[in-house]
Amino acid sequence: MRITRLLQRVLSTSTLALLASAAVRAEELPDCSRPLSLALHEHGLLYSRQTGEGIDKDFADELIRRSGCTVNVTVLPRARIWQLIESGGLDFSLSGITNESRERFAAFAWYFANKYYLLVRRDAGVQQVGDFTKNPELRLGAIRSFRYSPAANRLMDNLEAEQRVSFASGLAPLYEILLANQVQGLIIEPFDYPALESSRIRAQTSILEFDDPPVPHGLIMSKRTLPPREQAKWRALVNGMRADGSVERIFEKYFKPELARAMTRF
Amino acid sequence: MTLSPKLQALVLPLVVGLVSLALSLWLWRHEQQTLDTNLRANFDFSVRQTTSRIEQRLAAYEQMLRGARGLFDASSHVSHGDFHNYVNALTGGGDFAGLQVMVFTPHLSSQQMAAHVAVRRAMGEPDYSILPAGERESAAPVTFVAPATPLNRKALGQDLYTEPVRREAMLQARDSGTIAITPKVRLLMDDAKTQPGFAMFLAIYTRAHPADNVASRQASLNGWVHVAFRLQDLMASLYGEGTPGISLRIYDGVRTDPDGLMFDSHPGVDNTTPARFENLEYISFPQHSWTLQIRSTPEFEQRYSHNSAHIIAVAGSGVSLLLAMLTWQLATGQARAFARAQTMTRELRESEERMRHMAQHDPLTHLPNRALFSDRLQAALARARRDSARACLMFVDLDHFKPVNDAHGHAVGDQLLVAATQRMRDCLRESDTLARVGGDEFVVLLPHIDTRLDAQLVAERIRAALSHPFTIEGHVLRISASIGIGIFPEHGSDDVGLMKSADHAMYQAKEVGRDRLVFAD
Repeated sequence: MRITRLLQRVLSTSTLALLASAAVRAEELPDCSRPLSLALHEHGLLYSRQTGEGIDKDFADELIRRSGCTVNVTVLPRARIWQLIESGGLDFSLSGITNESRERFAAFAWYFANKYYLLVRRDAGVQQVGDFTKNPELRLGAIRSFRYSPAANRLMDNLEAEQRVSFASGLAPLYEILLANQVQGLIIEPFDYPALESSRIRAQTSILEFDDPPVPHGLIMSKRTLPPREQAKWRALVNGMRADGSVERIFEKYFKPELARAMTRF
Repeated sequence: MTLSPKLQALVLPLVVGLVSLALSLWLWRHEQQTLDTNLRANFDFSVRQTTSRIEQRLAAYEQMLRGARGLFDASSHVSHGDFHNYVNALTGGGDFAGLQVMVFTPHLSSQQMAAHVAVRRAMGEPDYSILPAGERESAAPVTFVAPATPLNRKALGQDLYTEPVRREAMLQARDSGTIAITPKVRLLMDDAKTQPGFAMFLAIYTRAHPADNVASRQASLNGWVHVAFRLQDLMASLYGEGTPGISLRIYDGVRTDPDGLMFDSHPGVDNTTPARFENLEYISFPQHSWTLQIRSTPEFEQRYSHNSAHIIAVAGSGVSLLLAMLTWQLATGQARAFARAQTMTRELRESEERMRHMAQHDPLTHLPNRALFSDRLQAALARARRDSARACLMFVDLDHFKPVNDAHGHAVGDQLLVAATQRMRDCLRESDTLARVGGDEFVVLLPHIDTRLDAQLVAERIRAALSHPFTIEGHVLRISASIGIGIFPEHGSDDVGLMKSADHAMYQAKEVGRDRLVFAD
């Protein structure tokens, strides 16, 4: 009888301990009761289908590993990603920047920041960013749905109102039409640097800096599928990756250490 | 510089009209801009929709290939029947109506080629062989085709590695682990007349090996699945009737060269005339791009624009004109009413003058009548009395007037009276008064005389003047005058007495033989 009671006590104690540890885990880790979805987009060093590698891929792998969740990773055009995040057809994407309209349907967990630059053909006669708007002959190439820093957004919006922007679903055709002089400028980020190492592009273009502070980029979370409590858990995971240097290590794979530090310590 | 009143009256209406017109113009332009913005937004939406639908359809093909890869991953041996069943199940829906063929191509080393042919022949394809024939290091012959129509089966055995364009896409697919799309190619089963199409490849890897980097993918390559389609069929299945008001051309690459044209929703339509809206949109694939040339057609504007701007222009002009006219009416109303009142006052005054004249004058000769003459006589006598002066009153009666009247009628008689009046008037001064007091009776007032002789001279001039014949309407008429003369104060101390004396004297003159003067002594 006593043994039975003792056994009962031991069992109940261990059950409580197990439950308690489960509760702690549930607080720390996201809900993995359903398969989640994350979309990458092809963009310079962020992700390349050709190599299957990139900053976003590495970040996604580490994030998924830490979450312990099953996450289906797909590659989609950026415009489609934002549509799906808004409609709830997709849970996550990476390297997103916010604006007023995106705040309505997406939550973010920042992990790096970078500046934007105007890559412009040397023969376009553009010495500073303002010159680009002034010459009505000049056209800008852009990826559909991309947003940038405030000054770059202004340039983009002004040119779009004048029907001077050609849109593409990815970066590759934009470099082609820049070389073919069908557009004379592109707005670029540090991830686009490898393309600039191509001798043809380097020979024909110069880089102008927008007068804006670095813009934070982060994990994009669909507000439609992830409640605020879940968003906080994922944000905690991202912050953990920043705090222990994982994010900086990923960036050091692709950038010089100084640039990696500047981008991840903001 | 001052403006004339007429011009001044025009200034305000003109200003109101111009301000109203300017307002209408502004509204018209604003409406046009709004319409333009809406049209632009509709066009942008159509562009995004068109691009997005094509991307989604291609993503659906990619998903189909991934499904096929899954089939090979799930089974160590996939037969032609399995492949055929799988593709049949997939293409049951209308979404893949544009798909011509789905193909499995193994990757064979030179040592595997002979065994492969033997297996295919043993599996019921006795004529199977790898084409073109010949020794080579590796091959990728078409092994399974679905649906297995006689046309599609023509492709069996063709070594895709021998075609540079396909080979390049296949190597890309192998290295990236994801899809690779060829530039424009002629489909395997097509002849030279049919339209070119595309092939989309996805590599299949040996299940036993991880395929997470380029080297491991190259090492574990098993083969490829690919779909082939013609743009025309794909677009037809996508749109049915197409997007109204939008013409779409799809070019291979980033240039809009005729050589690269793969699809044209409006073939035969002139593409050189500028469209209201035109956009080039680029779809990016790994190592490859398509250009979508999207133009609005006249139908687009008809569909989405309405003529509210024209209504504003017409209504605004009309209202401006009305406002200007109304302002002119209001501004000039007082002036016009004043002018009208002045005219009426003048007419009234003239009418009064006429009435007064009629009341005091003889309508035939316009000489003062008895009433007016009486007033003047009294006034003259009062003045003479005050000044202790003399005045003269004459009664003049025309002799033989009645026979003239009877013989020649009243009209001639009246003219004779007028002519006689004129002769008498010519004998008088401005200050003297001649009045008609009866049919042929006249009176003359000389308000100021010094002597009898003054009166006699005037009376004699009158008598003499009237004694000359008159010619009226061809008739020579002779009359004379009998004149009775009364002097104030000798012949009467007041008007009644003086008139009585003079009248009496005139009767005396008549009685003694007419055509003479008689003083009232």
